[in-house]
Amino acid sequence: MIVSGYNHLPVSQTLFLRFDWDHSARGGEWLKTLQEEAPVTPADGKQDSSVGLGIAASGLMKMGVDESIMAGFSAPFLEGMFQVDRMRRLNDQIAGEWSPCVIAGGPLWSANTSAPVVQDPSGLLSELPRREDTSVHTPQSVDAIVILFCKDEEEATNWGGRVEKAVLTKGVKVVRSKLTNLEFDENGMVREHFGFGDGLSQPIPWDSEAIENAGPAPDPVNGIALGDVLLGHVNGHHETSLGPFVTKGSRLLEDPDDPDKLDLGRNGSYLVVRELRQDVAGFWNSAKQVAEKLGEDFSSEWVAERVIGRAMSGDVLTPEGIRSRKDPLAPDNDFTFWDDDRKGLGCPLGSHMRRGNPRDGLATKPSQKKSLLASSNRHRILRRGRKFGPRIKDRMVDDGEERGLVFLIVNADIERQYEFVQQIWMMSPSFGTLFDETDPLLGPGSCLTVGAVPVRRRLHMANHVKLAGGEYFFLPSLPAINWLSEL
Amino acid sequence: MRLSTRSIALEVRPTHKEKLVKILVDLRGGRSRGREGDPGHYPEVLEKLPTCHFLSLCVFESADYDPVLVIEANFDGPSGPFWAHLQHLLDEGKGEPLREALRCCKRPRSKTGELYDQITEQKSRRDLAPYFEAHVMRPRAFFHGNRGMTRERILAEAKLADATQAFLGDGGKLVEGKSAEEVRAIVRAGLIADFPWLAERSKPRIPFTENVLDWLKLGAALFVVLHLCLLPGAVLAGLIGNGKHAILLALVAIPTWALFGKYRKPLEGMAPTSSKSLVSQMFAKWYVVLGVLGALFLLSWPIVALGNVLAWDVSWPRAWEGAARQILWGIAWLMLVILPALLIWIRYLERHDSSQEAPQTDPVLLRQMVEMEDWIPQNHMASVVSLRPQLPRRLIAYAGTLLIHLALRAAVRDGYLGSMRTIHCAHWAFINNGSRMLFLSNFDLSWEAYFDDFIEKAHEGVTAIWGGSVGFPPTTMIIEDGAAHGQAFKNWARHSMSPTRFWVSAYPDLTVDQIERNNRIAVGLCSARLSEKAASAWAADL
Repeated sequence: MIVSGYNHLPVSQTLFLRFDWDHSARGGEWLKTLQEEAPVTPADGKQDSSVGLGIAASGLMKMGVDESIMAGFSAPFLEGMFQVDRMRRLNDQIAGEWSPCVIAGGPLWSANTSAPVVQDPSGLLSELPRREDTSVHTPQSVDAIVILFCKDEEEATNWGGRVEKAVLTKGVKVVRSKLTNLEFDENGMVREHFGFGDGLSQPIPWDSEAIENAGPAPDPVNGIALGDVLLGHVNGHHETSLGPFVTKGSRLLEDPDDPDKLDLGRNGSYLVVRELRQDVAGFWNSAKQVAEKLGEDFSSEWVAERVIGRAMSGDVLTPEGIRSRKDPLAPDNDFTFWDDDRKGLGCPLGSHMRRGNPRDGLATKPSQKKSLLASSNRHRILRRGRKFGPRIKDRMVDDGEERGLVFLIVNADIERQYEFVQQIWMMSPSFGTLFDETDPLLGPGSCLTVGAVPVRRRLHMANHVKLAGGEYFFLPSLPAINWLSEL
Repeated sequence: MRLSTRSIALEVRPTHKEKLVKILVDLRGGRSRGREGDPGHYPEVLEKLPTCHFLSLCVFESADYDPVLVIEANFDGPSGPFWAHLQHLLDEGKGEPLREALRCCKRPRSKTGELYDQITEQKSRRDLAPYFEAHVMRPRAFFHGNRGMTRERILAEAKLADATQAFLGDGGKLVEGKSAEEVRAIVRAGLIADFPWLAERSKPRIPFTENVLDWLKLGAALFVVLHLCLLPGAVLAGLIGNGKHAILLALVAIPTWALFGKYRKPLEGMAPTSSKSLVSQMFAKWYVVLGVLGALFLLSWPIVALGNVLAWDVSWPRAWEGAARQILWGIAWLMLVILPALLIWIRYLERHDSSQEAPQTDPVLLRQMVEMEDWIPQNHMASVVSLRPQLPRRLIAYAGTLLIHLALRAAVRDGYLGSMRTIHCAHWAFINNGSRMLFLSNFDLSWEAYFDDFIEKAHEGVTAIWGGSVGFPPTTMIIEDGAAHGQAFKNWARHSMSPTRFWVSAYPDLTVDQIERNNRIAVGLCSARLSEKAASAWAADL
């Protein structure tokens, strides 16, 4: 999953598992069974099927990973996505109230992780205002996620059924499943339910030593350090993310360069999963209303394109209009904002695309261009999302079907990458010197400033994308999977 | 009115630490009304402190020192009225929390001991302000992101910016077919009744005299330091002739540079993290170095010449000639020997430093810090670090911070440190008799983002300031490595922090960037007329 988005395997069955075995069972048994039915394999060749596996902190603990080993994982992974302070930062829940970006009643699933207990004899931890409810318990508990990538829906459903049956024998229940797909259009583009190209901008990992034929330097616009997506390699902050370390007893994780070190994290990563529900008719009706208010010259597509920050075709919006492609088969992704659209006259400063990856657009002086682009790239994430639910027939009419995106993000440092993007870029009301507005697509509903001459326009967009569940998972490397299956 | 940044550090009786923390935590309790009551957001407190920008109270705990209570205040105008207002902070119906807090502190062994007794004795009604004033520290270095902006002006301009946005609404018909200047004139005419100060010329944020003084102070400090460095060469020039002097200089300089070339490389396993090494920056900005040396020559010349006349009773023409020769030799020694020798010394220390690879942060304190963060777009951090003992380290800490302060004051007027602009008010001061460095900062966005900014955009300066602190990640040539190693630096910084027990911001919704933007909007509206180009730039901020 880290190496490939499996574009050649457009359908996938996403299984959400709960470990429900009795205490006598060995924690690695289910993994052995899974490996028989759905083996996780290297993703560097085009195989007929592939498997992605993520295990939450709660899952690893249930599997019997020792507390001292668990301590080597990062804090967000151990605390979980719905730890009270993380929820505030991610804008999911503030002071006990769910934000409008979350489905009514709160998320349906998470790992329900028990964060490490902090003994506080002073009692001061309970002294903050409005701290009466600090824990969230979602109706469904998910300890692991298995994604079965294959070629068609029938195969995905059948294979999912076989896996479900097999792991059940080891006390693992499938509590939730989502049939997801990429669904390429006639131009070979993946479109999410609103109709926009998805996953168009991905970072390009670079490491002169670890990647074969890596080239002499990272990509000037989208290059990131390999260690930002893969643990155990040098990251964008000039460090190697290590650990957790495990004791000897298994040779599966041995590093040929340093046989004394058994790094459970090496070549693994963290997977952020957010199940997002999209109200397609709501979005397009909102866009239509905004367009009607703006006047005859504006269409709902014009409004929606400003919200997203790219044209419906996936191409870049510039002050001169839609940018012509360098490659006729794919929209450009090597552009920067300072030179092309500093004031947001084409792609609005607060649009979803610009908030998600501001490139050098946060620079305010030419001398800052290079450092701001490099700084933005320290927070990039690999997106591996796939959509679920049927495509809507008439985008203006709600058909009552549930649809959305299983948003999958691969990153090595959840705080510096995913959480930073969500908190500092997406949900920050002061992003790029803007006032009082958040991401027009994912935010709780706010203004969007659209650059214009002589003076900007402000559009008011409601929220039509809601969080239905989510969690942080560990993506183990193949040797780590073997080590875990020995538990 | 100038923004003052001050702090007070008082040692706490260890037996009373928990009571003190409880008093400070209680200051923020029981006032949750809507957003009010979120950490940092206490309008009721600000009413009592009309000049305050930011105020914080923390208790620092350490294994090596007794706890220290630190009161940080950033306020407009003179100190006196501020401390007078502060003493009554939240004392209505709640006892006198600050007097109670002082009772938890140690009686000073200095001359303020008697005053301490008077204000802390049972049923005392004596004012606390004189005691606060007696213990106020001037920071060694401070930084203001929105220089020259009073609290009143920041709030008034924020109100104006909101009114401007409301007046313009969604854009549309109001602006259709008009030029930017026409739109500006319409907005100005529409708002001038509610904001009569738009008719006045906007005041310069930094008065001319302050501006000149900033540069003079920096120049004077640099001159004193560099002039002292000329002494060895100048003295030798008085003792030996040019030929012998040249041979001596060559004999010393060649091995010095050879050693420097060997020592300057990063340690094994450390990759260079920046293209901006100290030496490469000096070569890249050779014209600045030449300019500084030229100025140093011209300013030192009359001083050395006068010294020659007074000491050796020589004629003025000979004194001038001799002085020129001495200074030129002084500069040669400075650049060829003293500077590389100092760097070798630093490099030797850097190679032998003990850096703490796994600093442990108390999980309870960490939880308390995190719980207070990210309620408003601003955050606060309070850190105390011990200084490494060696002489050059202390020199950099004491004199270096002062020079950095003067340089920032003179050269940074737009709030940018490197390419980061997220700091409202920050300061460095020395506590515990100069053995520990205190850092307090009021900044925008999250703590993680603040440190990512340091790491990605300003790690050279951060490394220079904190490189001499115990446990700091390994540094190379004062400014390289160090803070560029992200997680190591973050872990070290968290480990040095204590939870902010009480913190209040006068403008909790505004970032440094937004305050600057509001100011540009206000200045634009204060003008009776703008060129179309200036009006377009003004409109781009809306």
